[in-house]
Formats: sequence, C-alpha cells, structure tokens
Amino acid sequence: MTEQDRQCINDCIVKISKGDSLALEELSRLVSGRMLSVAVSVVGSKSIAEEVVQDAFVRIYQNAARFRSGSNGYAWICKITQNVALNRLRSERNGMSVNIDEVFYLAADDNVEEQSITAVTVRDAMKCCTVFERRVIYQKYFMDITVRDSAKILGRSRSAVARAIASGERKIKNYLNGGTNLPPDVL
Amino acid sequence: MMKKDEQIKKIFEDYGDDLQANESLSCKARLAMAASDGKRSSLSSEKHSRKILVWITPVCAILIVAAVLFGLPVFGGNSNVLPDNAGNNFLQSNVEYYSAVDVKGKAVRFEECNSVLKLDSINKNGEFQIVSADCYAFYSDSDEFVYYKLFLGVRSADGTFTELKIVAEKDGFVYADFAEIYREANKNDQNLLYADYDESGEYVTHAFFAARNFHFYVWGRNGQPSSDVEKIIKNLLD
Repeated sequence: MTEQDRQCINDCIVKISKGDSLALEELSRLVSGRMLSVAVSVVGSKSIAEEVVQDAFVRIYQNAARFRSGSNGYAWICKITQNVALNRLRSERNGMSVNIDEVFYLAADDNVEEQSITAVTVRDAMKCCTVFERRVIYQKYFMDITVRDSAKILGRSRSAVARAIASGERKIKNYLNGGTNLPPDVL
Repeated sequence: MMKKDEQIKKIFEDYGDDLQANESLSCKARLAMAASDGKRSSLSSEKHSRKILVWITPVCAILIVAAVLFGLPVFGGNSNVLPDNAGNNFLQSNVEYYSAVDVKGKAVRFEECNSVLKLDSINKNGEFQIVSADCYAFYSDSDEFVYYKLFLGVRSADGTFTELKIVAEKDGFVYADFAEIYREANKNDQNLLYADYDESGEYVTHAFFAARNFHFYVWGRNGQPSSDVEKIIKNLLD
C-alpha cells in the first residue's frame, strides 16, 4: 500500500462522513481485501468474515464524522473491523469473553485452497511464533497499529506487547534468513 | 510507533497487496447511505443520478432491475416456469428481521441441506451435477434454525462450471439486508425475482424465490449472462 493510497483512504473517510457514496466505493476498492484478512484473523471463516466486513463498512460510515483526518485512517479501519469481528465471535460463543490474543488465523478454514504464495510465506514465517506474538506482529505490520493501541486492545502492558513483538520479529527473521522453523517453545 | 523491520514489512506488504478487493462487501453500507435523507435528496439531481449509474452496487442493481422486471414474464416470457405456489401469498407479512450479529453459524454436511432443500432437483434431467459443496447452518441466539448458506459448484453436461451461492432462509425469518427484496416480492405476490448484472467483468445472475417452506436467494456466476443459472434455478423450483 503506497503513501498515496493511505492518503486516499483518509480522504475517502472524510468524504464518506459527508455522504459521498463514490468515496465508499473507492474505499472498498482500497481496503476490502485487507479488511477481510483482519476479519478472518479473528473469526477464522471466510463466509462469516464477509459478513463482518459488511458490518464494518456500516460502522465506518456511521463513525466517519468522528474520524480525525490527520490520524492513520487505515489503522482506524482495521481496528473497527477487528472490533466487529470480535463482537461477532462473542455473539457466536453466546456472549462468552474472547481473548483476541488467543486466536489468530491467517487463512480462513473454509478457504485454505485459495491462499496466495505471499499468504503462505507470511503464514510459514509466523509458524514459529506464539499466538500472542502472531497477533501483535500482525497488528504492527499488517494493521499499522501502534504498541500503545495494541496494548490497549489486548489488555496487556506496553512493555509486554513490545517484548512479544521483539521476540516474534527475531523468530520470523530467523526463519526468513534460512534458520530452522522450530516450534515456539524451542526458540 | 516502533520502527518496522524492512524484511518483515515487505512480506506483509506483499501479502496485503495480493489480497483482492471485493467491492460487494460494502453493499450494506452503501444501502445504508442511500437510505439516509441526504442521499435521497441527492438522487433527485440528474447529475447525481448519472454518478449512481457508475457506483451502483450489485444489490442496488438487483433492486432496480427487479423492480423493472416486476410484471414482466420471466425466463424469456415462459410463465410456465413459475411454481405451483406462485400467487398463493407464499411470503409472510409477519416476519422476524435479524442481522449478522444475531445468528451463529456452523458447517454442516451437504446431505443435511439436501434432505431439507432437495438440492438434488438441480440434476433432475441429468443436465447438471453438484461437484462441490460448502454448507453452513445458522441459528438464532435461542438455537432456533434460521438459514442455510451454501456454496455449490455445479458442472453441466457440456463441462461448463457454475458457481452458486445460495441463502435458504426459513420462512418467518428475513435477513435485514434482504428486506427490500423480500418486501418487493411480497408486495407483488411474485415468487421469482431475477436479474443479471456485471460484477468485475463477470456476469452474476441473482434470483429470489420461495419453495419448500424456505425462501431462496441465489447468486450464480459462470461467465455468461443467465445461461445455466436460469436452468438450475428452474430445476430447483420444480
């Protein structure tokens, strides 16, 4: 995603707040694929994730007026999507609490055959990480979420999140540079 | 923000760039926007009307085309394809509307769906064969069955492949997103709404009909307008 795309996302959100449907169309073109990935990472099913994204777009439309144009619009959208997905997951579990750092799916369980090579690369690279490390690495690198926000979302301390990121990064780099992809309890 | 490692950043960027956009995923928001007062007032302007033609969503297209199609014969004017229960007030006026957050789903076996929905009728004349099926059942919070969602791969005798997405909703329940379609059908006492539209270069055929105490929303695509999808739907209806 280019800087131009990021700026375009911010512009779209501002336009959506003024009722511009063309902007919604443009935003969908820019981020719907990524939103689907964020939703799948929580709910694990493509069909349910698609419904989550539909609801997330409604939430974006409803909250666009509250968006601060100088902030990171892409991260804002990802957070909304993740929250909607989390609510959906809670609803599916009859209101039971769900710890987002205990679940992570890079691919939908009903859509494994459609994974791209790049998805497989990311998935394999993250295999050596714990679920918590995968979640924080994904939030940092894919969702553009800050450590502070990650800590808030996950209910952990900033230092715990920063440590998990550092540990996950070390394992992934080790894998990418030809190291052994050992299970998390060995590395 | 913590500095990103360039190597890891690149694999995530490549992954993100590979993800395909699905513009239909914003349909619900676009409908919500269109339903707002501001939107309605803008529709009156000719300038905006032209714009609408550009960004109108597949669902919006369905609604509009369906409205145009009301009263017109379906399937090329062959009214015999309408099922026996057409015109018998098959839809209910007192229904429970729900949204995605009100239901929970689980994967189910094709055989279960088939026993209820009689999907084998697709192959009634030996023309088609269901070659793949992903089936899900959705239940309300009180564990009452609400609908099946099916993704079917259907191969015709000549080898053409058709992808079908079917939502088979139990009569008495209506997904809020489909409320307009449902109400339109009910108002006109019409058991088959049907429309073709183009989605990212592919023809998608959409149909709505009621049968076997369910009402079906069907989306089919096989690269050509109508074609096999019409026949498959006709088989399902019979």
